Amino acid sequence: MKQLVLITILASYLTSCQDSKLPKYVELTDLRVLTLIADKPEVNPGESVSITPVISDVAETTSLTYEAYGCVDPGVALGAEPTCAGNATKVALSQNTITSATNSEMAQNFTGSAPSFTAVIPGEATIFNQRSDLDKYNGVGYLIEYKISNTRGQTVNTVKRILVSNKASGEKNQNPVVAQLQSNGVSLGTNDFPLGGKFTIGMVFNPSSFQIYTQRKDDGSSENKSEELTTTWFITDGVLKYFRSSNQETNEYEAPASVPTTRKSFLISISRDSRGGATYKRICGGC
Amino acid sequence: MKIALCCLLATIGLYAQTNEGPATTESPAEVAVAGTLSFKGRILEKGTQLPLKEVNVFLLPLKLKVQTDSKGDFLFENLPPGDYQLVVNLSGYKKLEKDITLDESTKKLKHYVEKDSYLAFETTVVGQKQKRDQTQKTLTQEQFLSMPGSGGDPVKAVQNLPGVNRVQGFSSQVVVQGGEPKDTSYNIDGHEIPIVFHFGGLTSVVMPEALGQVDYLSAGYGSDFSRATGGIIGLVTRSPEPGERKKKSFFFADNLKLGGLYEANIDDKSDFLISARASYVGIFLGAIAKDRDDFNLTVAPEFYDITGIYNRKLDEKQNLKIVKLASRDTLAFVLKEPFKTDPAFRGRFYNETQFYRFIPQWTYKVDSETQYKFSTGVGQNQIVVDLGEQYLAIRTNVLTVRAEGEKVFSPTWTSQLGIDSFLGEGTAKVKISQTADDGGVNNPFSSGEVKEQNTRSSQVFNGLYNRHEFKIDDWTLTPGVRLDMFQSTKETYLTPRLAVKYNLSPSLLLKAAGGRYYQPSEGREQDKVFGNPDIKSPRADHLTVGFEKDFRQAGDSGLTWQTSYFDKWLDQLVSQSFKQVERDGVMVDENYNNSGRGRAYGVETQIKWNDIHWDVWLSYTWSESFRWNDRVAKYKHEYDQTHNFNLVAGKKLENNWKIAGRFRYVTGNPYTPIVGGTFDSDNDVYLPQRGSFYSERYKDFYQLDLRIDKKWISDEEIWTLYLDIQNVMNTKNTESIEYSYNYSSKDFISGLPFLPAFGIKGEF
Repeated sequence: MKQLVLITILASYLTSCQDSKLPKYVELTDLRVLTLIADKPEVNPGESVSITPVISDVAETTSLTYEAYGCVDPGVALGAEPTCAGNATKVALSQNTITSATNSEMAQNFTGSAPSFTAVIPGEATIFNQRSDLDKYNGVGYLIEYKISNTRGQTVNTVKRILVSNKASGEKNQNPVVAQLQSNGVSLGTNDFPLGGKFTIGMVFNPSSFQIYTQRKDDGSSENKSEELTTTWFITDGVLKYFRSSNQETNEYEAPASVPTTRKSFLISISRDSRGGATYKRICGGC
Repeated sequence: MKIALCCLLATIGLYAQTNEGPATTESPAEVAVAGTLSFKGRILEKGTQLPLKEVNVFLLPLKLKVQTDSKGDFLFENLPPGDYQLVVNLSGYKKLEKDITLDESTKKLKHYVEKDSYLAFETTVVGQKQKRDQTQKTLTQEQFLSMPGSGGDPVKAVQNLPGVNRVQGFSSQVVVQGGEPKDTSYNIDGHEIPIVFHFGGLTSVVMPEALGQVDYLSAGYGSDFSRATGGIIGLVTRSPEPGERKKKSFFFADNLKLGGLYEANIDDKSDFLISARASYVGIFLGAIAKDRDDFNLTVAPEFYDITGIYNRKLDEKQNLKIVKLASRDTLAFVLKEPFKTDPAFRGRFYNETQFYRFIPQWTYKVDSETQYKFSTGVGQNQIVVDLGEQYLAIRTNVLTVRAEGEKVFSPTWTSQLGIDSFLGEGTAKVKISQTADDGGVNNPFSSGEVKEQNTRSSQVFNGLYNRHEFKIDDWTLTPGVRLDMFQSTKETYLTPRLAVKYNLSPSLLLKAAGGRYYQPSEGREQDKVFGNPDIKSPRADHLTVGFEKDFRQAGDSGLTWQTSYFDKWLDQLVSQSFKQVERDGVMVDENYNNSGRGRAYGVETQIKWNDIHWDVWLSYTWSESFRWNDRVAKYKHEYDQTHNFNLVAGKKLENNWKIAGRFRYVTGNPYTPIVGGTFDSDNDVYLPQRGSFYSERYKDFYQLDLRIDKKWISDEEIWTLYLDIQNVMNTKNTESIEYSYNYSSKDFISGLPFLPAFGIKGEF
C-alpha cells in the first residue's frame, strides 16, 4: 500500500508538467474555513474552550450562517465519519448569522476571524469513560463540528478536536505565537500588503512556540518530542512558490502590481503545531 | 550486485569473442589410400550451433551418403581430389548445398544448416507439463516470451488468461476471479516469495528465460497448496540446458533494463545457469526530475535481480537442483514542500524492498511406483519505507519446507502425502498513520492516528495434505484433505478438496472441483496496536464445473475450447472497524474484525487455435463479485468486471518475422464516488465523504497492443530485435481520479498513451 502511494507521488510529480485545472488550495475564491483556533488546544475534563474560526469568502457580499456542535470524538482519525450526527454526546454549541457588521474583519470581504463560540468539555465520567491510562495521558479527543454556509448555496463542514488529558497544566499544549510575518526580512504590519515584485516571505515564531512534550507509548515507555510547525499560505492575488513551509523556512511571493478595485487583497498564514495548536496572521491590501 | 552483473556480461562478451571468426579447422584432409583423400566435417544448426545428429549428408556428383554421429560429425573416405557438392536436406531446415574443392589442404569444416523458423527461444525446450491439478493453466516460456503487451514477462502474460481480472492504474498484481490482489499467492518452485513484481509492476522478479513455465491455479485448486483464497501463481524454474555445446548465453537490452544469462555444463552429471538483470529507467526519470525545483530524485527507481540454478543428477534415481533468487528495488526522493493533498508527505522518502531465496530441491524416484520430493526455501525478506516522520521497516527470516511422497498403489490409484510449511521470524519497526480506506477511498495520511510498534514476532503455518487419484474407466476422482495450522492466530483447520473428471469422449472432458480454503490474516491485522489480536483467517468455499473440448483430429494444429463456471463464497473477511471494544477492562480501538462476507461467480472461456503460422487465443470471462460487512450492505466489489475479453493473435511470417497483437476489452472497475469533503482543521486536509460504495464505474477499458519480432541468424549467433507497442490506438482509458483539495471537482487520469518499447537480444 505504502509502495503504491510512493509510486503515485512519483508519477504525480513527474507527469505534472502542466498545472492542474482543478482549484488551487492556496487561492481564496469561494467559501473556505482556513482553521478553527481554540484558545486552549489541550484541556482538562469539564473546562471551557473558546473557538475562533478563520474563514474566507471574498465573493460574498451579504451574510454567512453557521452552526457548531460538540461531541466525544467518534474516532475520526481512525476513519469514523467526521460528524457529531448520531452521537449520544452531541450538544449544540452555537448558531448565528454573520454580516459585515458583525466584526471588523468580516467587513473586509468576509476574510479573517469569524465570531468565536464556546464549548464546555464533558466531565471525566463521560470523556474518560473506560479509557486506558495511556489514553487519559496522551489525550482523548472532543470533536467540534462547524458548518458554515453562504448565500450562494455553498457550505463547508469543518471539524476540530480539542485534546482532553489529565496532564499537568504546564505540560499541556499551547498555541504557537507568531512574532513576525516578514517580507524580505522586514516585519509586515496588518495592512502592509506587498505589491509589485517578488518577495521572500517567512514566519518568525516566539521560541516558546516549539514546545517539547512527552508522549506515552503502548509498551509503557515515554518519548520526548519537539513540536514542528507547519505554515500554510493563502492568497487572493499573486503567485506563491510553495503553499506550505516548515518551521521558519521562507517562501517566495510574486505580488500583484496593485490591489483590485472591486475587493481587498489578502495574504494569510495559518501555522499549526500538529497537535491541534494553531495561530494565524492576516495581511490586508486596500484595507 | 553491479559488479556481479558486469562480470557476467564480461564473461558473455569473452565467450562471444571466442566463438567468432571463420569456421573452425582441425586437420587437413587425410590421405587414406594412395591418391585418395578423406573428407571430414560437422553439421550444426545455424545460429544455435547445436550438432545435428543422424542426419544424411550427400556428396555429389558421386551420390555418396553418410550419416552424422552424435556430435554432428561425418566422414567420407577414399575420395579422389576434385570438386564436389555437399548437400544436406533435412525436414524443417533450409536445404544446404555447398561446393567443396577437395585437395590435401582441405580442412575439416563446420557446415551450418538454417532452420525454417527461429521464432521460438532456442535455448529452451519445454514440454507441456502433465496437469496434476485440473484447475491449472500453464504458459510455457515460448508463449509468455512472445506475448504482445506483456514485454516477455511471465506474470503479465498470465493476465491474459480467463478469470484474471485487470487491475487499475500502475499496479500489475494478479487478481483472480473477483478476489483481491492479496488473495493471490506467489511462489517459485512451490516456495512462497513476498513479491512477484519489481517496483511499479515494471517486470517480474525472475529472468523470464530462467523459467520453464508459469502455472496459474484458480477456484477449486487441490490440497497440495493453500493459504490463498483467490489463486496461486507458480513460477517454475527450468533446468540448465547447455546442450551438446556445453555452454551458451544471451544478453538483452530494452528501454527499461538490460541483462544476460549464461549456462554451462560442469561435468557429465551437472550443469548450471546464472542470470542477472538491472534497470536503468532511473536515468531517464532522473533527467526529467532534474529540472523540477520542488522535487529531487536522490535515488532513481532501480532494481536488480539474480537467478542461479544448479542441477546435478546424483544417480539414476536421484536428482538435486538448487535455485538461488535475489531481488532488490530502491527509490528515494525529496519533496521540497509537503505533498499538495496530504501534508504528511514531506521531506525525504526512501523505499527499499529486497528478498532472497536459496531453494535446494531433491527428488528420489525409488521405482516406477514410488517417488519422494523434498525442497526447502531459506531466505530473507526486507522492506523499508521511510516517509520522513513515519516509517516502516520489516525484516523477516523465512524458512519454507515442502516434502511429498507419491505412491502408485495400482494402475487406478495414486496417492500423495505431503507437508507444506512456512516459518517467518523477524522484526518490525513501524511508526505510521493509521487511516481509513473504506470503499477504496483513502483518508489522507495527515488525518490518521500515528501509531508505533517495535516488535519481534514469528508466523508459523504448517500444512499437511493427503491427495488421492482414482481412475475408474472414464472417471478420475481426486479427493484430498488438508490440515492447516496457523500458529500466530492459534487456528487449526481441516479442509476438504475434491476434483472430478469424466471423459465423455476422447475429445470431450467434463470436470468439476471444489474445496474449502483459509488464508492467514496479515501480520498488521493481527497486531495488538495496529490490528486486532482476536482476528481470524478469512475463509472461502470454491466450486467450479466445466468442460474441455479438443477439436484437433491429429497433430498439434486446430481448435481447443474450454469453459468453466466458478463460484466462491467468502466468509470471515477482514474488515476495517472504527469501533471501540472492551479488551482487558479498557476500551480500545477494534481496528479490524471478521464481519466481511462476499461472493464472486462467473463463467470463463478460452478458445485457442493454432497451426504452423497462426496462434490465436481468445479469453472471455463474465463475472460478478460482491462484498458486505457489519457496517455496509451488499455492494459491488472493486474487481467486479462484468466482461473481460482478451484476443491474442500471432502470425509467423517468412524470414523469421513474427507479428502479434492483443486486443482487450474490460468493463470499467467500480469505484466509490466522493460526494464532498469535511475540512480537518487540525491537520489542514479535507476528509473525503464517500458516496455509496463502488456505485460508479470507470469507463470501459479497451486497448490494442502490437508486437513485431525479427530474428537475424548467422552461423554462430542469433540476434532478435523487437518492437512492442502498447496502446496502438492511443485510447484514453481512465485509470484513476484526481480530486480537488476539497473534493468539489475532479479530473479523470488516463493510463499509458501510445507507448513503443524496443529491445534487442543476442544469443551466442
